[in-house]
Amino acid sequence: MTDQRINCSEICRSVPSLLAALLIGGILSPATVFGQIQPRSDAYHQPLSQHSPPGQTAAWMNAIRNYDMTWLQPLQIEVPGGGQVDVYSGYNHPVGGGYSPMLVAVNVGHVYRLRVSGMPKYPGLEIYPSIELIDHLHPPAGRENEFPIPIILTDRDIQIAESGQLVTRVIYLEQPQIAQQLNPLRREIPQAVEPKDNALQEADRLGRPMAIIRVGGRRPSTNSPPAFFGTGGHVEVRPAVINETMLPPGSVKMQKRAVVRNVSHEIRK
Amino acid sequence: MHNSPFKHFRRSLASLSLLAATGCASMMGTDYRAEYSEPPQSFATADQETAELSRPEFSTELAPDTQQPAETAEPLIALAAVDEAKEQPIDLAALFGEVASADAPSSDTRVTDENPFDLIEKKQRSVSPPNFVLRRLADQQAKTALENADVSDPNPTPSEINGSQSGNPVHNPFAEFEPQQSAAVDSNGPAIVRISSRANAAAASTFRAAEPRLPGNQEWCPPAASVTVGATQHPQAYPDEYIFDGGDRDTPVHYFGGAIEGLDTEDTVAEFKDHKGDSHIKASNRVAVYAPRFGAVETATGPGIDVKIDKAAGARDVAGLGALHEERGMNMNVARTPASGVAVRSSAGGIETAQPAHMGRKTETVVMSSRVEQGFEAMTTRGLGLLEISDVHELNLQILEPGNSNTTTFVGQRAATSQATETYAMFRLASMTGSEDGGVKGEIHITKEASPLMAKSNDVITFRIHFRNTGDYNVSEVRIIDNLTPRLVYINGTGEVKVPDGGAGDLSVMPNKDGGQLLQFELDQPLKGGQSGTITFQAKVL
Repeated sequence: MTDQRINCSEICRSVPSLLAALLIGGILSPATVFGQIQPRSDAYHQPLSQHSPPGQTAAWMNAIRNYDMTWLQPLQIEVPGGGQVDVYSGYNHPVGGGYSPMLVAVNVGHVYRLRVSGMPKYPGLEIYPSIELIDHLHPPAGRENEFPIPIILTDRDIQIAESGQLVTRVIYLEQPQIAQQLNPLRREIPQAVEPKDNALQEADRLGRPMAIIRVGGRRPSTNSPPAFFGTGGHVEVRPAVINETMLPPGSVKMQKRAVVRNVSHEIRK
Repeated sequence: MHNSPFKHFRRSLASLSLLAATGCASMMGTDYRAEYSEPPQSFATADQETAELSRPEFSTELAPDTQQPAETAEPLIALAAVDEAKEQPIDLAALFGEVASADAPSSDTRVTDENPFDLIEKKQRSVSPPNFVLRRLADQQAKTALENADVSDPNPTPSEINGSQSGNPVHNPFAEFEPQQSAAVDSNGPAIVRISSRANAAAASTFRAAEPRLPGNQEWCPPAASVTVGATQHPQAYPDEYIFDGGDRDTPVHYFGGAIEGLDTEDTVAEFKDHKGDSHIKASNRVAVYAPRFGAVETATGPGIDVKIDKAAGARDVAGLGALHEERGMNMNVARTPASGVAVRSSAGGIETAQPAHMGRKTETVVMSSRVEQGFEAMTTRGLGLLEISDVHELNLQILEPGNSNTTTFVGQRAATSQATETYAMFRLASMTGSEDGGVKGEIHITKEASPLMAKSNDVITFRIHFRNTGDYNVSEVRIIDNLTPRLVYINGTGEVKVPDGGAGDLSVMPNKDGGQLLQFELDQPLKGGQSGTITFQAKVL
């Protein structure tokens, strides 16, 4: 596990400065960090894509930005119909787990492997998706757990993985100025690209890429290298915060009314 | 040939160009400066930089003209204040009381003729009661405070201090010693009273604490239009994690052909007309609601594609290996090597004769170039260069002497005229005209608030827009426009306009060009000077 990380970091340090500059100017350009108004053009070169080896994008981000290892970005992992989620990080034993929806805080710039099992909708099925976290949020202090990055697995993801195919999904943070009223993460807007196209570049055009999710039919074996289980970032399972989007529609409606009344009461004060 | 009029004209042009290029000071030599006398000492101490510049150009007779006000605005204001002060003589005895008289100048540097704020202070103090009256009132007040003081409480509250101050019927903004009296009386009564008497006598030359610029009971200051109010201190650092509303994003809102242009999403502006009928637009501040939202771009790769690619790659690899085993490359290499050898051999033959021929050509070229250097062109070039240099020197020397008086006089006159014009260039007159108008033009300031400042999808945010006419005149046709970002959806029926004196307004909701909504609040009545109101509405976060 440690050797793998050392090798990864050495590779990252050996990346020429030109590639680093291209990366900064491309995926993490100032227009991404400091806001943009219109989608950017495709004029610049994108050295990375969803076809890059798992962990390469995160390692490059970590090498360039030198992420704070004490900062843990919460992730909210959702499995359709619920299920057991175990988190691996550079070792063949899980470092944490829980039942979906699960809130787990991890280091940025690393790859993690999940084991999803015990799904009532898919009895006896196990899938091992991976999460490559390449960026993080900057929420108000003490409110980090309220704003996790959603890792949502859909029925289609599980069906594709079961059939042996690979689904690569790039989670990005929307640019509010070019956002639409429909929610893209909840599949209200189909955002799929052809396998030959660069999904990372498309995500960068629409916002700030945050994570790369790979859901496939690959399973670990006794000879699986430690890199299969991730790159060894810190993992901390936290108590899940119930999000109203995960509740049944009736419950969501009641909660919304309650919020309205509370706000009105505050205003009258 | 130097006596022709055309030559004189050329020399004049050359001298003027040198003047323009190098400046007058560098144009003048040391011998030339020696012809002029030193400027007066007082002038040199008044403005050393001006004295240095004027030394070569002006004679002593012209020195008073150079004492016009300098270029910066502060001395202009100071001199104008001196002129105003000269119109109203100051009673120094009344200013400094019995201790500091006009004959004994104070060590306080503020009491100088150059500081306009001190002149204003003098004018205000000249209309206030004499100092002995103030001191008598202060002593009387201190005596009253002694009688009413609670000795058991050594630390007076601010209200007690203010209460003792409010008992002073005479307004004296420079009587800072009065708080010292009140505070000291409570702690150590009689002794401090004596100290306060001495402080009163030396009030003109001792340090005093500054008075607060704002009223003490001010609770809230509206944020400026450029301020962003958010859940964190610096929402601009990561704007993609926030929903902004308010302000004027990107292209400033402006009028183009009578219509409003540059109204982007998130913009919140107030449009109004002043008492002269001119239309104005004023933007609000920005509020930043922390509400990150995510999207996903996905792609699926099937195993069928992988199988095809593997086969194709394998076939190519096999073909490549087979090609490598062939000896075509060896043959090619062999063929090239003899080709090189043949070339060498051939060059060792007849080509060798040809190469010296080429060298000979090169030598001829060098010879030709040497001929050129020694020929007519080289002579011409050197001659031109020497002539130009000598001409310039001659022009400088010859034109400087006869042109001294003309040049310096011209510069001096121009400097004096421009400075005199700028000194009283109607700036002060314009400001005086504005103040004599009797009122401030009506202008609307709007401030935006949001609650809460953190939200998730489907949460409801309440926005409040405060508007106020900060001028004295009425403003009419007030319209407040809020161009919502697409992630905010107005909740029908939540809009409300509150204006004092029974005013009301209408709300209209229309779609904007970015798929969001544009809210427009129109006031029914003109907004009077100093009048304010509030607009409240709610929006859902998508």
